[in-house]
Amino acid sequence: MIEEKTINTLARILLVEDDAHDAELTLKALSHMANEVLHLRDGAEALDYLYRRGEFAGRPDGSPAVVLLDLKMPRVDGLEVLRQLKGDPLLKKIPVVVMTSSREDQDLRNCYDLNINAYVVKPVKFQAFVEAVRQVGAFWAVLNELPPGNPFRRDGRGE
Amino acid sequence: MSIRVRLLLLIMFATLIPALVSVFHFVERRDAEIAEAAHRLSAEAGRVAHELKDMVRGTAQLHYGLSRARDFDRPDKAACSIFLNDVLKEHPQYTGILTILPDGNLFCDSLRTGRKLNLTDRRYFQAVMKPDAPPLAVEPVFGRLTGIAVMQVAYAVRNETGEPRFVLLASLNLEEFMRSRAKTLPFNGAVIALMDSQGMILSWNPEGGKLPGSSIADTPLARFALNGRGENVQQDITFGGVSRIWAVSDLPEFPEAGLRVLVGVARTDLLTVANRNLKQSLTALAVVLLLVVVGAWALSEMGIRRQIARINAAVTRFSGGDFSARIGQPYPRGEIGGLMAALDHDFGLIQEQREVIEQLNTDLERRVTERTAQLAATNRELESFAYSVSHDLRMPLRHIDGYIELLAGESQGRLTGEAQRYLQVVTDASRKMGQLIDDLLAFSRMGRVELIESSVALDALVEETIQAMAPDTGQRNIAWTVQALPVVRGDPVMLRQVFANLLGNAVKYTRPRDPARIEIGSLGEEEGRLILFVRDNGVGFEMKYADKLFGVFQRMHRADQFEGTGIGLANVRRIIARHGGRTWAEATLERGATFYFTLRAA
Repeated sequence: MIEEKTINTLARILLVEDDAHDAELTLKALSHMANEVLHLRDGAEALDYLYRRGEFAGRPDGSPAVVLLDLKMPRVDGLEVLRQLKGDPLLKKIPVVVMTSSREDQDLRNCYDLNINAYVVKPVKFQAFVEAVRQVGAFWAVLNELPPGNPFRRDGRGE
Repeated sequence: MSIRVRLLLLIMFATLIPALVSVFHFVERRDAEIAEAAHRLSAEAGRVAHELKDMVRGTAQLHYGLSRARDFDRPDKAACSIFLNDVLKEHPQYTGILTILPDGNLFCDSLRTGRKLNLTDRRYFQAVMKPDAPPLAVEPVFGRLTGIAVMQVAYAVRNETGEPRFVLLASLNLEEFMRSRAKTLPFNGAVIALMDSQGMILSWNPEGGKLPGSSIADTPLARFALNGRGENVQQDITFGGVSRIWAVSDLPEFPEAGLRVLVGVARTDLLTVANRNLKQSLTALAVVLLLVVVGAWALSEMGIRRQIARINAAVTRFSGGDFSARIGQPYPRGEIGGLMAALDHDFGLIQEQREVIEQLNTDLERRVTERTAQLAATNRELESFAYSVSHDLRMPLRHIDGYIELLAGESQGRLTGEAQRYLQVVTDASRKMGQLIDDLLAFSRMGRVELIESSVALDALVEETIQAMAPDTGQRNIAWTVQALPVVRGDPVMLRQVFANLLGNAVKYTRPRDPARIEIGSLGEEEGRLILFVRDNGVGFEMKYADKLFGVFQRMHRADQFEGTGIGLANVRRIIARHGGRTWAEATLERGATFYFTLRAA
C-alpha cells in the first residue's frame, strides 16, 4: 500500500485558475496531499504546459494525474483548453475535472459535450469547498487508475 | 331568359296590337265599302241606261230633221244615198242610215251598196206603218251584215194626209256605245252588259267573247235582271265562273225594247284597294317591326348585354382575387353606366383597403420580428447577466468565507469573544448573500427554461411533496386535508416547485399553531381553467400587502420570526403565469391565508 501510494504521488495535479485567491484556497485544501500541485494562471499557460511550449519546453516527462480546470479565464478560457485537449489523440486521455462557480445548464452541457470527466461547482461555504476539493484530489490523484502509457502508473508499467 | 330576349318579346307583343287593330278595321270597313260600291254600281247602271235613252232620243231628233230634207223629195236613189252617207260620216254612232218605202223596199242607203232588200217583216217597220201608230219605234237586233248589236230606230215620215211617205231607219251601234261606256266605269275589273227581254246578251264588255248573241235566260243573272223583285242590286251572282255584285237598270221610256243594262263587279276587284291598303299597312307594320326588332337587338346588344358582360367579367376577376380588376371606361349613359362607375369606385376602395391591410400586416410582421429579436437579445443579456452573477458574485463570497475561516484558524485563542462574534456576523452575512444569489438565479432560470408540458396528476404530486417535507414536520401536529385533485396540463418539474413553495410556506407560517390545519383543493373554473387553492390557519397577513407578497424578495415578517429570502411566491407566480394562469391570495391577520392559482385541465 505504502509503496504503491508512493509511486502514485509522483503524478502531478494541474490547477488551472486565474483568480489568485481561489488558487490559494484550493492549494490550501490540497496541501496535505503528497502530490505536486502545479498552479497555472490561465488556459494559455495550461496549453503551453501540456504541449511543452515556451517556459514549459523543458518540463519533466509524463502527463498529470488530473487537470482541475476553471472555465472563466482571460486569454484562453476553459472551454478552449478542453476543445484542444480532448481533440488531441495523445492528450484526450488525461482526466479533466471542471471546477467552477457556475451552475448554468449551458456550461454543463458545453463541458460534457467536450467529454470532461467530472464537473464540480465550487461551494461558497469554505468548509464545503475544502471538503469538495479534497475529495476530488483524493479520488483522481489517489484512487483513480491512470490509462496505459502514463509513467506514473502504480504498477510501474509506464514509459 | 336574358334581358335582351325579354325586350324583343315585349316589342313584338307591342307591335301585334296595331296589327290586330288594322285587321279589325279592315274587316269593318270592307262591309261598308261593299255597301257603298253596290250603291254606286246601281247608279252607274242607271246612268248608262239614261245615256242610252238620250242616244235614242237624239236619233229621233235626227230623224225629224232629216225628214225635212229636200233630198228625199226626188226619187233619186243614188243622190239620197250620197246624202245619207254624208250624214253617217257626221254621226259615227250609227252603223247605217236608210229609208224604206211604204212597200217595204229599201230605197236610200248610206252604205251605197245598191242592194235590194225588203224589210216588211221587221217589227219596227210594222210598228211605225200601223195607222195612227206613234211615229217612232225601236228594236234591238243584231245587224244582218255587221253581226253586231244595234238599236234600230225607225221613224215614219208622213204627208199632210197622214199617208206614210217613207220610213227613216238609223242603226245605233250598241256595241260601240257599250264599249265606250265600259271605259267610263269607276270600278277596276267591272263588267257592263246589255241584255234584251228574252235573256239574249246583246253586248258584254270587256271581253265578251261569244257571249253577244247567246241567251243566258236560264242563269241566275238573267233571272235577277228580268224579274228582280224591285231590287236593282244583288250580291254574289255567279256567272261564267265568277261571282260578282250586279246592278241592273232598264229603259222605262222604251219598254218595248225590253233592254236591261247590267253592271257587275267581282267582290275581289271591288276590295282590291282595301285589300291593297291592308296589305300595305301590314307590310309597313312588318317593316317597322323588323326595324324596331333589329334596332332593339342592336341597342340591347350594345347597351345591355355587352355592358353586363363587362361588369360580369370584372366582378369575376375581382372575386377571383385580382384586385386590380376594373370595368373601366367607357361608361355608357344611364343606370348601367352609373352602376359601372359605382362598382369601379367600390373596387378601388376595396383595393385600397386591401393594400392598407397588407401594408399593416407587413408592418405588423416586421414589428413582431423586431420585437422577437429584441426579446431574444434581452433574454441573451439576461442569461449573460445570470452567468456573471453565478460566477463572479459567488467567487468573492467564497473568498470572504474562506479567508475568515483561515483567519479564525490562524488566530486560534488570540481573539476576544467580541472579535470572534464579529467574524461570525461577517460569515453569516456572506452566506446569506450566497443564498440570495442562488435564489435569484433559480428565479431567473425559471423564466428562461423551456416549458415541457404533459398531463400531471396533482393527487400524486401533492402526496409526494408532503412526504418530502416529512423530515422537517415530524415533530409537529399538522392536520392535512387533501381533496380529490384533478389531472392538469403543465410542466411537472415546475408544478412540483409550485407545490413545494406553497406547502412549504403553509407549514412554515403555521408553526405557532397546534394543531396546524392545511387544506389543498379545487374550486371550480375561471375562464376555462381550474382554480386550485392551498389554505392554512397560520399567521396570515394584512390584505393590503396581498399583491406585494408575490414580488421578488418581498417579506412580511422579520427573519428572526420566519426564515427565508422571499423568492418562493415570486417563483409560484412566474411559473403559473408561464402556464397561462393567474395567482392571488386572501388572508386575515393571525387567522390564516389562502393562496389561489389556475391551471388548464388535461
